[in-house]
Amino acid sequence: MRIVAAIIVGLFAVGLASAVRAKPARVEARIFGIDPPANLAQSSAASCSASACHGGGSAGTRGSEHTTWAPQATPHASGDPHSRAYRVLFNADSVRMAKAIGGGPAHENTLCLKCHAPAGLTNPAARSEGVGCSACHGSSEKWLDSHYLPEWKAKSSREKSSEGFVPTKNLTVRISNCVACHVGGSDREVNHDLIAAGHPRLAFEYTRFHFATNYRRHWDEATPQPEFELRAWLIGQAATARAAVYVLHGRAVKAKTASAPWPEFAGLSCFACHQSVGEGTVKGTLGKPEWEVFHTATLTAASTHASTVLPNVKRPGLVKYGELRKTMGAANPKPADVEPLAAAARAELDAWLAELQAAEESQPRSPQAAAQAFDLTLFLSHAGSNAAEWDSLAAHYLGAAAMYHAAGGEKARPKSAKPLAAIRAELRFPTSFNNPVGFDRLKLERARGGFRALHNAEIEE
Amino acid sequence: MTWDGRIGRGTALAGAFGGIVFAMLASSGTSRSANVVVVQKDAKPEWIGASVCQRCHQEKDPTDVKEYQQTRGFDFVRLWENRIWDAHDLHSMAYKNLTTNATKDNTGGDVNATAQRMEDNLKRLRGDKYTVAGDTACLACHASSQNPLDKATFADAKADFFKTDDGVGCEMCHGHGSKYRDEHQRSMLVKGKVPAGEATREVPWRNADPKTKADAGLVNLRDPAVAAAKCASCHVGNKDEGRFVTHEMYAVGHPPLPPLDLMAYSREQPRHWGLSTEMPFLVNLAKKDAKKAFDTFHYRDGESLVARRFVESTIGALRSNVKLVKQLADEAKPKNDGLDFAAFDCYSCHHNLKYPSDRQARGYDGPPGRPQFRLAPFAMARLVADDEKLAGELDTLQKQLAMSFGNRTYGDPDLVIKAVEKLDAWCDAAHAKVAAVRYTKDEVKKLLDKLTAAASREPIAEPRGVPASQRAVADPELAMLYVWAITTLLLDDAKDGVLPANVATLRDGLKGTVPTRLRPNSAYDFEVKINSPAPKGIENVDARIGARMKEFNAFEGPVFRGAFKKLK
Repeated sequence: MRIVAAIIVGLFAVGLASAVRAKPARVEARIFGIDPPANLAQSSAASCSASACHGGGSAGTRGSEHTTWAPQATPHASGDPHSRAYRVLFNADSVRMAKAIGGGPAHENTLCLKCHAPAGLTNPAARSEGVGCSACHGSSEKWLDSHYLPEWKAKSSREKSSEGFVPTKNLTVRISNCVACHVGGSDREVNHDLIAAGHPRLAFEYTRFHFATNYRRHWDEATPQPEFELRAWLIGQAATARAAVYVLHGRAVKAKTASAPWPEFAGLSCFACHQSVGEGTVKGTLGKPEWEVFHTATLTAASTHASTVLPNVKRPGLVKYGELRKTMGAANPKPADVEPLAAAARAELDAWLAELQAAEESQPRSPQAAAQAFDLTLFLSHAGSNAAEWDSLAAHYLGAAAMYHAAGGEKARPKSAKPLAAIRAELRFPTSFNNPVGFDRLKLERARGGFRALHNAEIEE
Repeated sequence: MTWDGRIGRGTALAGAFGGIVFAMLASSGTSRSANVVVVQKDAKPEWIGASVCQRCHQEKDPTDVKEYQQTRGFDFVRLWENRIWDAHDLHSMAYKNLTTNATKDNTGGDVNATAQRMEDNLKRLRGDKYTVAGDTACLACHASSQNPLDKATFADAKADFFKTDDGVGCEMCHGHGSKYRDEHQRSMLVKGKVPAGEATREVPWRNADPKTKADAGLVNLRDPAVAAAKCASCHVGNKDEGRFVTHEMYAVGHPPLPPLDLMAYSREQPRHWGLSTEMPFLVNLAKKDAKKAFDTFHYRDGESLVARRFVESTIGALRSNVKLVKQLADEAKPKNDGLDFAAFDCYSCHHNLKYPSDRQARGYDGPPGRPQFRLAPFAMARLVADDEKLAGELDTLQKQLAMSFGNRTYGDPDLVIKAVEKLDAWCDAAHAKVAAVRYTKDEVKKLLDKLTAAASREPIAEPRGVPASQRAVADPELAMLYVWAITTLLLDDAKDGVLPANVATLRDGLKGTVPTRLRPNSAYDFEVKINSPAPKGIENVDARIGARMKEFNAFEGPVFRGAFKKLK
C-alpha cells in the first residue's frame, strides 16, 4: 500500500515537474508564414547526445554532431562557442557586469539567460549546455520520436516546422534564428547600459560568424561555393536588418511608457560618439549618430542583388523602411512616431524574408553564381568608397570579403587580396582598444581609397 | 568800436553765458553732493569703446601726467593697461578669428581655418549666404555688445548690435562704460594741507562700495567669484545672454571649450592689470582698514592673493556651470526633451573604449553608460572648500544631479531643475567658509597637499557606491584642472620669474598625456613691462587646438597618478 502511494506521489511529482518545466515562453516567428506551436517544453541535450543518436565517438562525422559541438569531448579542437555560453556568465567580466547592472548574479539573471541559456530559462537542467540543441533546432518535444523515421525526410519544411522543428538547412530559417540573439528581438536585447557595464557590442554578419576560425561546424554545408556564401551574405543582410527593426520596434513600445531609455544608444552608430573629440568627420546629420549603421549599411546592395541571385524573389520596395530611416535620422524622433513605422518596415522585411525562405526551398542551383558574386563585389566596392563612417566601411568590407572568398579567394582573385588587406588594416582597432582610435579624416580617406583600389582590381581580373 | 562790433561781442558773451547755463542745466538732473558717487539707476549702460578708455588707460608714463600726480591714480591702477591689452591680449583678436574667405575684406583679419571649416559646414544647414562673422550666436562671445546682453536683448539683436573693432573689448569684462565713464574719474580737491607725496585730489569712486559701482555698470573683477562668473559667461556659457556653444557648433568644428580655471587662463597671456599687491593705495588701505579693503577690493594683507583668487574663482566656476545646466534644463523642460548634448561632459561620450576601463575602475553614480554633466568643477570646488561637512553635502548633491541626468537618456529636465536648487546655496556656504580663511604659507601648503593627494589617489577594487570625493581621476578634464591648480599654487612661490623645478618636473611627467599649458608653444612674457614690444606673431589657433586635443585624448590614469606621486 505504501509503495503504491509512494509511486503515485512520485508520478505526481514528475507530472508536476514537467508541468512546471513547460512554462510558456514567448516564441518569435522565426519561420515565416508558420506559427510554431506554443508552450513547448525545453529539453536538454541529454537525449540528443546519446551515442547512438548524435553523440557518436567520431567528431566531425554524421551521427557525432554533439561530439563535434561540445568541447569536452574533443579537447584538442575548439568546439562550438555556443556550448560555453552559460559558462562565461561565471567569469570575472560577467561578475563585474552583473554588479554594475544590478539584478543578481549573471548566471541567474533572466536578462542574461534569455540569450546565454535560452532552454535553461524554463528548464534548469538544460542551463549548463548554454545555447544548446533546442536553441537552434527547436524544442524536440513533438518530433523527438518521429524525426529518425523514414517518413520524416519526406515531410516539407512547413510540415516539420508546424511540429516545432526548425529546418536549419534553409538559410533564411537558420539566419533568422541566429539574429534573434545576435542582434536581438522585441523581448531580448543588449542595450547600452549593458555595454557600458562591459558587454561586447553586438555586430553580426552571418558569413563572418560562419567562417570564424574558432567556430567548429557540426554539419556539412550542402550548397557549394560560390553559391553558398553569396546566398548566405544576401539572406544575412535581410535577416539582420529585420532583426534590427524588430529591436527598434520593441524599444519604441517600451519607451512610450518611459520604461526604457530613448533614444537607445545601442541602436546608434557606436563610433559616432566613441571617437576622440576633434577628429570627427562631418557626416549626415551634424553632431548626431545614425541608426544601426553596421547592421543596415549594405542592405541596399543586398536588396538590389537578391533578385538576380534568386530570380523567384521580387526586389523588395523597402518604402516603409526608407521612411523609418528618415525618421530616425531626424533631430528628435519620438517613440510614438517610430513605433508604427517600425511595425510597417518589419512587415516589409518579413514579406521579403518569406519569399527568400520559399526560394531557398525550391530554387534550383544557380550556374551564374560566380558572375553575380563579381557584380556584387563591384557594387560593394563602389559604395564602400563613399562610406561615411567606420561601421559602414566595416559592413562593406565584410560583404566584399565574403564575395572574394566565395569566388575562391587568392587563387581566383589574386589582385583583390592586397586592397582587401589594406582596408582591413585601416579599420583595425589598436591593441587593447575596443574602438578605432584616431579614426580621423585621413584614415577614412585611406579606407575609401582601399575600396577604389578593390574596384579597379576586380575589373582587371 | 562800431555798433556791429558791440553787437558781435554782446552776442558772443550772451552765447557763452547761455552756454554755461545750458551746460549746468544739462548736467544737473542729479544733485552733485561732492564726495558721493552718483549713479543714474534707470539708464541702460551703453558701449563706449576702447578708444574712449584709451584716452587715460594708455599712458606712456602716468607719473608724468599732471592729473595723475594730483590724484596719484597710478597708485590705484596701472593706467597703461591698454598698451599691453592692445598689443598682446588674445581677446582683441576674438572677432578677427571669425574671418573666412567670404568676410576677409570686412574683418581686417586673416582667414582662420577653423572658422572656415565651421562656415562651410554650417552653409549646408543655413544656406549659401551664411557667414560666421555675421552670426549673432558667434558674435555674442566673439565681439562686444552695444548693451549688456539678456534674453530679450539677444533675441532682438542683429549682427550690427555687436561692435567688432576691439574684438572682446574692455567693456565686455569691465562692464559697459556709459554710466561710470565720468564718475570713475571725477575728482575733487582735498581740503586742508596735504603731506608731500600724497594725493591732492581725491577720487570718491575709489572708496565706493562694489554695489554702487555695479549699479554704475562696473564689474567688480577684484572679487574672484564675480570675475569667474564674468569669464564663465563666454568660456562656459550663459544661455540668458545668448552665449552658448551648442553641440552642433562643436560638431561643425568649434574647438572644445576647456574647463574654466581663472588663474590658469590668466597666466597664459600678458597681464594688463595691476595686482592689488602692487598698488600702494590698496596695500595701505589694507593696513589701515582691513575690513574695508576686503569688502571693497577683496584684498587682505598677510595672505596669498593668488590662493585667495584661486579658491574663490573655483567656487565661482562651479556656480556658473550649475547655472548653465539649470538654464539648459529650463529650456528642455517645455519641450519634454533631453538637454543639448553640450550640457554634458564631452568625455562622457567621446572617450576611447578600453577594457579594462579606467572609467569603470573609477566608479560613477547612476546607471552605467549615461552621459553626465561636467564633473571637473565639482571635484575642484569640493577640494578648495576644504571642509568635511561641505564635502559630504556636495557628494550628496552631486549624486542627486547624476541620478537626474541618468534618469532619461539625455537628462530629465524636471529632476535636473530640482537637483540644482540646493547647489547655489552650497556655493554661498563655501564662499562664507573660505572668506574666513587666511591663506598663509601653511594654509596654502595644506591645500597643495590635499590637491596632490587627491590627484594621486588610486582606484578602489569595488568602486560602486564610493562617494565622488573618494574617486580616482579618470577623466582628462579633471586631470587638467588638477595640474593647473597645483601649478598655480607652486608658481606662487616662484622667485624672479624662474620656473620652479617641481613645476618643470610635473609638466615633463605629463607631457603628451595632459595639456599642462594652454599655450605651450607661444613665446610671451606674462610680466610685460610698460614699454614691452608687441609680440612677433600669435600662434595659429588651429595648430594650438590640434596639438592640445592630441594630448587631451592621450590621457592615461596611471601616468597621471605617477607624476603626482613624484611630486610628493
